[in-house]
Amino acid sequence: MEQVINFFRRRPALQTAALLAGSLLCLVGFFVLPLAYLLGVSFARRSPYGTVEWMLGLANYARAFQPLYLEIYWRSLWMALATTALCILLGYPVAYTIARRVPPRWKSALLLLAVIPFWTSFLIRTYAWMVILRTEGVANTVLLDLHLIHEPLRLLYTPLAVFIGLVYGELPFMILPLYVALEKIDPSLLEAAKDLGASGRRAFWKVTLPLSRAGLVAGTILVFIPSVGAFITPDLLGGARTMMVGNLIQNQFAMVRDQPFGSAVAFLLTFVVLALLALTLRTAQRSAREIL
Amino acid sequence: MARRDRSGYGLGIATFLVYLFLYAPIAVLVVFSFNRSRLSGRWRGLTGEWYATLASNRQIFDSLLNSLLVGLVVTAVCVVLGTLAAVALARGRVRGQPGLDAIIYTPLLIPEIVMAVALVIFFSLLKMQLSLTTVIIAHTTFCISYVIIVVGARLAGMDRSVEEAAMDLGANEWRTFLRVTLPATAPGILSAALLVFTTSFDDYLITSFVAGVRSTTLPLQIYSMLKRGITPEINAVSTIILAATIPLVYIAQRLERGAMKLRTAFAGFAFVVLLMAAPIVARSWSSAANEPQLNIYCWSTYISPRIVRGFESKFHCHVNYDLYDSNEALLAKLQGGNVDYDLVIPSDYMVQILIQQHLLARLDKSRLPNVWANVNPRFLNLPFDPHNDYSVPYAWGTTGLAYRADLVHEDVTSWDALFDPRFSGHILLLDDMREVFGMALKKLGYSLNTTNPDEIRQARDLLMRQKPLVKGYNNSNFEQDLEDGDAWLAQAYNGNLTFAMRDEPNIKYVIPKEGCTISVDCACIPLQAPHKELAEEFINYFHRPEVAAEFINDCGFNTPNPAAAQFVERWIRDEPAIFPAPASLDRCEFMRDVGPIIALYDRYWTEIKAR
Repeated sequence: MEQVINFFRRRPALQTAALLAGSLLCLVGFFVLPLAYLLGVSFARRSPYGTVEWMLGLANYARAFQPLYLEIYWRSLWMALATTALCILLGYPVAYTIARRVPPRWKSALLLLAVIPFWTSFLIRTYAWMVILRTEGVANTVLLDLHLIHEPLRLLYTPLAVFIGLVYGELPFMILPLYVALEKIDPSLLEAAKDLGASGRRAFWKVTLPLSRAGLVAGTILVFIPSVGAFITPDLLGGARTMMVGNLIQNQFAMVRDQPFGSAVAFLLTFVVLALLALTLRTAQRSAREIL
Repeated sequence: MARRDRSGYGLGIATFLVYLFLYAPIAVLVVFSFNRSRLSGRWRGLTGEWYATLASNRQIFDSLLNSLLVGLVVTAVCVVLGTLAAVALARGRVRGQPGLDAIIYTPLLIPEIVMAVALVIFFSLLKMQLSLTTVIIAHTTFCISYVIIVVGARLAGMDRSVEEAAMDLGANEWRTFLRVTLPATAPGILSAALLVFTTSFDDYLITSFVAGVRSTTLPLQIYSMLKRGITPEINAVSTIILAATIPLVYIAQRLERGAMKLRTAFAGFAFVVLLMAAPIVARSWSSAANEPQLNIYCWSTYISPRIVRGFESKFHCHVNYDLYDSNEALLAKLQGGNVDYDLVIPSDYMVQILIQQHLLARLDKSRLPNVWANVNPRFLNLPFDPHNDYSVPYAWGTTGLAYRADLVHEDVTSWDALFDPRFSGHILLLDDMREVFGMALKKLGYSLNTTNPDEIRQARDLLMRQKPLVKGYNNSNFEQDLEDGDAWLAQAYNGNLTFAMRDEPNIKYVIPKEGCTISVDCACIPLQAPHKELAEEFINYFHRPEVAAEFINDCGFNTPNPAAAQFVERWIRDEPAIFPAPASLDRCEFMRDVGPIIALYDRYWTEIKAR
């Protein structure tokens, strides 16, 4: 053991490499390489039989920029953004409560309780929402019985239903990283703020929020990215009346068997979202520096 | 001080409401697991029978064990590798950080279907047999990023002075890591582990592509059961899983309080894992015995456990079956060539594609006497396989028009009803491009396989005008929308309606006078099937009249075997949706692969759906 440690102590670069090796092997071996192949496919074209024909060109990418498709990308991005914002709004108080308000012995249990609903199948949960949101469903029955409404609301197959489904599905991915970041904050910093005369609200904006930035960023990434590609929830709860970029890609691979165009759209999406993220991260860093 | 208390209340209430939100659908599914009605849209009285039927369902328990095994292995591997990577990224000055970040974030970003296809192609290039191992590799690949990101968030800006102090006091790096860094990171690791397990345990799409023989996981199993409508049985499975998590919450709580030692908890955990792994190991040993194996890959709605048991006892063999719900998943796997299925059930147009790509074996016709004796000639020698050299019809159905007689108040005989403004907002179409276009083309009097761009454009214009009337597109549980009265009229696959019509007699089904799709799914043997003769034996066994009848009774789909009718339960036999008048079938048309013009269909479909 001692020898191993000494060996690495003298070679910090090697140490880093060793620590990274497992993950990189996995990610490069089973992710980057297969994806590189598909990147190649995205420049090829569909043969009449639906297989890949290796005539390389940029036609798929040119096609992906047609206004018809831009409309679809825009809608997907917008919905993902709204979902992320709603998740922050709902997730922050929960993460804050678990991290800073409840007695320590309840923290893990509450955290688990936030995740356990997700150990049932995704589709079962979505179908349960359908039961709740139907015209004669649970929500309408309860509201009618309480005399809050006089005739059933139309809930299922509406944008509201889609947002409920998306936020529901992504919420734990916001709560967990936020909890991790909030739990770490040293309480003495908040006391110091109080002692210096800051109100509770001010202390939150000036101390807690900036210090939980890492969690906020991680949560945003974990929620925003999958929401962009989401399509099963919008289909089931929204009635599949409008197409998401996820549908577009799925259709190319499944129905149309046009792998080249499907890959091109997927890579375009990946590139745009990565660029957006890089931009957000940089701005977040800059604003954080200004605050400190 | 008062202010602080008030905000405390506010936070408490907000948290409570969010938990309420999280558990609302859970409460619904638990309650409905005791519902007497088979299709759980409405409450029809209390029963525990679903738990009883569950207990005898071998397939569900096998898939649950598979899922747990995959989830636990993936979580362990991801947590170890991901944490190490996060430490390295947080500490070391890593060259090429932006590139690394891109590699880490992309798995979250790439649509699942793309990753699934990429992985299938890759595994086949590596000649890796699809199995639980490939499932574990795939899950690890898309879960590891969660750990790196979440643990990274914890490590970011962590005070390093404590570590330095430990080193100054003589601890080496390893000790420092174990005693200082790791405990400080623990909440991050716990959160990441929860995320990874949840993601792996719930993954459907990628798993469905990379799973091989006998590696059906719980989500795959559940999806296949859902295709028959969400029965309370599925809710019962979920309820049991939820109940099983209660001890977990208890353990977590004891751990935090320090009432339980970490070592005890870990030992208990390891014990449980061993306990779960034991049946899997035992199963793989027992299957190594000399009993011949038959591996079936078929539509999720197309397997009757009774038939499987009957075949097993008669032919002294063991039948394994895995399930799919799209022809394209089947195609992807057979193209890979790295999975040993003996029998597959593609639809008509997919048979054509599989033959073109040389993926099917020629059948030994002399071994299939029941087929030639019993199968309706209407379903033989069809254009996609003119001499039945590669395929034998297995089940068939139509895609017609279903409606609620009590809500529509008139007899429906034509597709025109789907364009009637009086029914606006109560019309449901299938979320299936070819079927929707097929409907419109039939209404216009054209073939549903047309390759004439002008006819396809007319169909598009028609569908564009219809769209404001359409409530939604649904091809997974449209029968529930009908049963609950949310939809009055729906384009529908007849077989999916069978059990819904028993529960709600007001649901009627017609083959419209303009005609519609008729489809036949066929039994085929893949080219490299290891047990071809046993597969042929199964096909022949299936077409015994009493066996084919069991299929109709259990699955709700008709078979092309008229001799079976005498053994079919009366209520199904009397149902014109399943046993239509032969003359009405003359209006129907088989769907064929339309070739490159599919791109035009897709473009128009996108236009219809884009706004």
